[in-house]
Amino acid sequence: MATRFEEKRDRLKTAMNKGTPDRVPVFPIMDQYAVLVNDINLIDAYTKNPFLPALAVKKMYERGVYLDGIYGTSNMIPFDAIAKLGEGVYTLQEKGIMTKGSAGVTMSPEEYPDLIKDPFDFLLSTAMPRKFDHIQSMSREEYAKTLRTVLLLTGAFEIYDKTTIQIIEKYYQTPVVAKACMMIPQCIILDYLRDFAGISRDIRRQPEDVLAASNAMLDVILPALIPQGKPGKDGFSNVFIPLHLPTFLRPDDYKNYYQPTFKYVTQYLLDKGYNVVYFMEADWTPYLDYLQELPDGNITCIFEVGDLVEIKKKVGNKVTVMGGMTTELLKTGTIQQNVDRAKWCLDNLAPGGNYIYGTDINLVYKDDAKIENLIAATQYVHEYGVY
Amino acid sequence: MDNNNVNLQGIADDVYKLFPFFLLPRKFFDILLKSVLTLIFVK
Repeated sequence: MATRFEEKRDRLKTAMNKGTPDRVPVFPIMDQYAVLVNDINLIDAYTKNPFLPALAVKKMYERGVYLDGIYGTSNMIPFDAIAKLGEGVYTLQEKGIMTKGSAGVTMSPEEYPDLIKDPFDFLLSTAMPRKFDHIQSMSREEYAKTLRTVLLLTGAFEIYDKTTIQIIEKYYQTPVVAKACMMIPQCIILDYLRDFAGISRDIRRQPEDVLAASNAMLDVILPALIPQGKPGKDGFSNVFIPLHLPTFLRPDDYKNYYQPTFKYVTQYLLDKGYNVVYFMEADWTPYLDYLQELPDGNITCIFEVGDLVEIKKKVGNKVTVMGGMTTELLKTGTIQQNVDRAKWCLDNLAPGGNYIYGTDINLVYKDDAKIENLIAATQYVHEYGVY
Repeated sequence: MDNNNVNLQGIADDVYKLFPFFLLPRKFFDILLKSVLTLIFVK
């Protein structure tokens, strides 16, 4: 007899494989919200006691929320390690992980040839010192010793997070769905090297450099998956990838300078035995046809915006559609409105399978959803979402 | 630090010489360094 963990995992797995499970999987992404809404200190949860994020999951069940899985712990930033280099983009506070804007510009357009020639060298010797002020005042010997400390602290951080995940899966029988995370290189250029104005200019003036640099960066980015864990034999090793840049591009630019890398990464991950989950940020309606060019395999797309019925009709043969649980309604709506929305999802999105009921964007802060709405909506879908 | 004088292979070599990393196979260490730096850089 299957355990509760196996039952939930298989439900998600079947849907992610474009199949029809026994019930519609319920998978709101709400890791940090779960900590905050249960009045657990976020700093303690992410740095001092690995049991606390698991306790948040337990409390969600006690309050009546139904879950077939959780995304992870959202504890993805090794703050202790980053502190050795100087301040990063994110800071950990009791009310949440805060950003201080963008990472800024750490590369000039003239430096694309250097990035293309040796991305690792460029990141380590040029971009890192620009991003982290402390490095600029270090001698080479100090930089090497600091990197040693960073490696060790990051290792400790990984153990901390893995401990939490094991507690959640073993004691609370809840699959942790994100086994690894990564980014498409063009999105890294946007977020961490050139910023929005920079990459917008580059796509117009030197698009071939953007594409060549992105392809070269795969040599650095793909190995980063290895320490996050090899794909397991259970067919449930899911890599989550947020897509930041595409909807800022004109469809032709997307086709020529993003899609090739996007397709390559997708194929690479599927070949390695991963399932791929994309956060489709902003409105993908003009780009949906390009999804048909993706390789066949377990690909799930979380759509933030758009007509999900049309989206499923158009790309449901290629990807599993996740979404429908609108965070705006969770935050401001009534219980009845959220139950009505859940019913609409079951009536319009669930038929034929290949669908996961989930949030359109992550629930992050305490006031991102009324807990009573989350309870009512998740219970409704679990109870009535029977195939 | 003068960025122009920084040489990647030199720094990676320097880090590898430090305990406990010289206990690891060099190939594994290089993957570890790449992965951690990527993780750090995108945070």
